[in-house]
Amino acid sequence: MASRHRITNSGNAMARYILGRIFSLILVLFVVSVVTFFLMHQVPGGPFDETKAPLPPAAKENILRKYGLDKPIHIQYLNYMKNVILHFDFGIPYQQPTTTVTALIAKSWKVTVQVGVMTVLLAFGAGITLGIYAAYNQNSWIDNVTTFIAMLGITVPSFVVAMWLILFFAVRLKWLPMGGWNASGSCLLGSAFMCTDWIMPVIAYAIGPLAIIARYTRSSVVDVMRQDFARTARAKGLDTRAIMLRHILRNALIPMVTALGVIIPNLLTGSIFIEAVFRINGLGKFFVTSIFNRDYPMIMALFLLIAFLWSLTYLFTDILYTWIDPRVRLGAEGGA
Amino acid sequence: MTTRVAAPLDVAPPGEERHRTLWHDAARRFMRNRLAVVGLAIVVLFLFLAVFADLVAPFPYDKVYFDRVLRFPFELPGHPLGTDEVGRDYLSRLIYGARTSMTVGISVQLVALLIGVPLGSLAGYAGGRTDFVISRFIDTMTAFPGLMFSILIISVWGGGLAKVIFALSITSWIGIARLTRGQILSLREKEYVEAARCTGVNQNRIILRHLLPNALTPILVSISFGIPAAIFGEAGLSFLGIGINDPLPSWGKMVGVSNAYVRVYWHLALFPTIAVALAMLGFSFVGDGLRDALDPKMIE
Repeated sequence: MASRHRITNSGNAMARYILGRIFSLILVLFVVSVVTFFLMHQVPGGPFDETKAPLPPAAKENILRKYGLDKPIHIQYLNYMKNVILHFDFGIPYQQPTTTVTALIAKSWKVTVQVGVMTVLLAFGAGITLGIYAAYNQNSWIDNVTTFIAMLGITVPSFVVAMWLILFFAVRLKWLPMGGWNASGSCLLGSAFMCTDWIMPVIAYAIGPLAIIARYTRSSVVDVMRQDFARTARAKGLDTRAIMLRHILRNALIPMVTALGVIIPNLLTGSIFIEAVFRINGLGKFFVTSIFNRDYPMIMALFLLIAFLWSLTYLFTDILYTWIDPRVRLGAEGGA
Repeated sequence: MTTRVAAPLDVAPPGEERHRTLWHDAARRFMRNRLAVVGLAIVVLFLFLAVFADLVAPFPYDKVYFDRVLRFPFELPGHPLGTDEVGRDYLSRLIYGARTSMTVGISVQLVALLIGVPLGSLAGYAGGRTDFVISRFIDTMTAFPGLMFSILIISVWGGGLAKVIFALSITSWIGIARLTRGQILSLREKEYVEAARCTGVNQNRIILRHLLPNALTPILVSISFGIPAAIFGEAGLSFLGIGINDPLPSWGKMVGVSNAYVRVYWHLALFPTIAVALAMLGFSFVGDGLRDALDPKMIE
């Protein structure tokens, strides 16, 4: 109760904290966009290939004027950002000039989100379960297995795990398809229910976060188990399950928010590797092909998008953290 | 206040003997840690392969045999791990791959050290406006997704060993800078530093002789974890096909290329993935071992 009282007292501090964080987020995005924009324009060559068919100077001037490329670079930057912010218009991709960057992204983001959501569910479900079991049965075989998985998941890159899964389950046993996503023939009862080509990408993708979550959960459950209130609950005769759910888990899961803050942003970039291994046509694969095609508008749009989501998740988890755990002090003024 | 300063005053200068016992103890604790020793053995093996690749490898890494394309392990005498998709000895390429990985891992951490430690020390020691500017800069860089930034740089300037090292170095120093700043910040208020300042020791000497040696252990641990992170970064970039360029071998690139052949030529995928995993595990074990061995809380 005392802690709640303090929150209302420091509500002002909370607002100030959030405003400050939003301000720094905007600053970061500004820096990211400037850096990427100037990097992109630093590249030799432009969107119009003149090696095969040299343009007459007048025509070239016309084209440059049409796309605003005759203006100084800072004006170009301002125009670009104006279009991005006001119209969500990231320009035209070099690889498919008949469509827009936004349309291309709109076409492929769903798959990436689908993979990501399933991965998060698996990572948290299995990670928390394993962590709790490991904490409750310290030094048993399940604890050792969990420790082993955690070690492997944290150190070994996802694309290595992915290759191992492919070698074993697709090449050796031939149980699962080598890759793809929602491929016809791999789905039971339609693509909405369950597809066999979901299994390996999600496991390979999830093993890293799963490992981190299992490790976090184990250590924080062990920590909380030693607290006085847990002992009191046991002493007053509550059964193990009730103690676990009502007393221990509630407190042990607070650090999970931190884990969330580490995991979600990494999922955004990790998708690039998983989609490359399993030939999934999502944003990650798109990103790689854009790099190969030197499709700068596309690269820039995807990079900005990821940077935006990345900062947003950081902000979100930080706020969530202070909100869930009143013990966390907001800077200097929050705790008073 | 004055009495408390007086007591631990003369600890630092004659430190010869104390130093030896600290490292001696740490080494003993490290060697008692079985995983750490295994990790050290793996790391030493890979470092050995990296340095002596020319002597150990049976073939040059770029020697192409057009009549021996895509052979399985032991199919031909002299190619115990088979050959790759253009007929190069796979074992030799794996051994030279160790050189690529180690070069990237160590160079990137060296750059991280050379940028991160001075910048972090400066911020922590000078404080005030200098600290504010450096800290904001560090915060901003933290908000960049590190690997994405490397990819971005490579997509503009192209791949290759030097550019991969450069691209990975750009974000690698942030952690060390932050760590060093925090260490210096807490150490500079310690009594022995105050004492040194009182006796007229100049700033550079305080930083070099009194602050940095005491901040050394966490920096060391951070580096031992930074090396596998850089190896991971290189392997990842090369896996995507934008890192190390042919004909220089890289484990990550070998895994990436193998993806197209994996249905039949399993050996192309298996051996480099094992190499990457072993290197990552080895360095992580060493890092864990170092952290435990150097952690003063473990001293009993």
